Amino acid sequence: MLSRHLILSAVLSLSSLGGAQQGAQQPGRTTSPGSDTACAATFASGKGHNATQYCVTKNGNIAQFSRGDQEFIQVGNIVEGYAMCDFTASPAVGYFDYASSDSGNLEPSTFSSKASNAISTRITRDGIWEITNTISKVAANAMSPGAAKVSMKIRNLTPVDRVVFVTRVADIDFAQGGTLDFNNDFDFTANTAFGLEPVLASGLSLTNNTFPVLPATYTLNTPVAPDPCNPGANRASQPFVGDGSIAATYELLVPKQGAKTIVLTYKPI
Amino acid sequence: MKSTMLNGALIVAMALALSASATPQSLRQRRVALVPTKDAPANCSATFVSGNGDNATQYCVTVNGNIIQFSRGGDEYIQGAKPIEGYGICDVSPGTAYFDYAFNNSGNWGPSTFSSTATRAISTRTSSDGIWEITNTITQVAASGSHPGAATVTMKIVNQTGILRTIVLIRAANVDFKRAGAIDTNNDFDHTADTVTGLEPGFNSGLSLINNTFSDSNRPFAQGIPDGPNPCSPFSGFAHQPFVGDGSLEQFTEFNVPKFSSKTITLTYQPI
Repeated sequence: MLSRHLILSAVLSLSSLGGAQQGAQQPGRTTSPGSDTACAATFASGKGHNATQYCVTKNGNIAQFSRGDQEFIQVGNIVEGYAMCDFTASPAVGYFDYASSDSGNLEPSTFSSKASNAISTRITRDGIWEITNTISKVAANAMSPGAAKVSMKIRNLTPVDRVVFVTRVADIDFAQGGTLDFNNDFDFTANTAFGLEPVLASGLSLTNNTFPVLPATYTLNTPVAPDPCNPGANRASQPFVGDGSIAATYELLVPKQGAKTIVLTYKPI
Repeated sequence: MKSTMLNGALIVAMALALSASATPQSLRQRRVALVPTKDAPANCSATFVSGNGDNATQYCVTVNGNIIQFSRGGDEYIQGAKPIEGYGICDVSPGTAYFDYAFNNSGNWGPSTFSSTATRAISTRTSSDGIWEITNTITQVAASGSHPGAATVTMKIVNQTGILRTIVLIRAANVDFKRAGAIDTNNDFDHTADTVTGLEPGFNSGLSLINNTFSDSNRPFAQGIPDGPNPCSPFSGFAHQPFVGDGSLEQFTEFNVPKFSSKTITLTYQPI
């Protein structure tokens, strides 16, 4: 397992792992036929101010998330999704699907849903990885808004141990009553990143639920989703005010023919 | 709601004005000196612990219903430089303030009756003038393998008189950051309509105060000062967003309490 120092260096440094980027796809530049922002399943719960709704695409992206009449993701360019960077060999290989764009090296997904969750599974075109995104509804109640629990199961299909970065990210904006605001407040701790609309409005947080795996939640100073092999390149200063994103990156050693699972939660604040 | 209640727009205007001068005249009639008094004990009467590792969560409650210590994984948020956490009431019509922020109080509260179980602490007291009874119930939300614990705070306010009264109810906490003996009083603060956060930047941690009672008159926000507010001037410390400095978390609620009746407000302290 790589050290805490290395993961933090990689995530935090504005220019880290420059050499490792050689094989990585640059996200956010093109839209692959595989990327999709269309909702395949929608989940709603709660009433009034706690009414919470989100939707999931067939590829496991959360393309819409709202509380009451306030929307956080389906505003302007929709960016929410996942990425991996495989550092096992050089150059590193990046894989991503951020809904509006993808790396082009992921196979089509198999998708299913029921009232409480949506499950999307796909493998990489090189046959090395399988990723299963399970998005489960945490229902709203009279005391609290709802939430979406995201479980990412990463399976190593090869006979060698592999080291990867796994990233989840969302471009947070704000829309209410037809008014859009792309400039918001962002901040983070080691386990929670959030973006919010100031002046007594609301926002969306991303919280790590995977322990003792060392996480790194953070915010980006751009709505453009990160390079999977250099996810912290645009890490924001704290606090950040502007058009930003919230993210979490994990460093995993996935044993041969084995799997690791990361869990985190999107919840309105 | 009665017309005496402040509406949402007015609350926003008050908050944004960053000045006590924006508050209604009734809220400015009486200024209360925020000074320590002899009956503001800062000792833990009950301590609640749950979870392990990064999610290990501990807080303690005083006999008067103040949370004077709150930690996650060894990071302390309240028992730092100046342990200030507690509640305040402004009886709007006469403009009388009652508060107890642990570090200081208004001196017009009677002694508390206190009890606790493994998961709950209950403190009840009456104001010296006999008008108000407040019951603070602090309930543990246990940590798990996937998240830290939390403290749910229920404040039940009983109007013991024969007339309807309009009050401002405050809950506030001075959030600092302490790890391994080092204290940082300058932190990041921000808020929405339902959550206010104070955190130590740089992949550390922080504490949030979350509203769980939904009406237009509940408003958490950050103060740009560490001290608990005068309940009759609740927005005097309102911070711009985002705020970096020695701040605090505050929730403001205004409501009517009918004669011989009660109202209950619930909120939650949760690490982030």
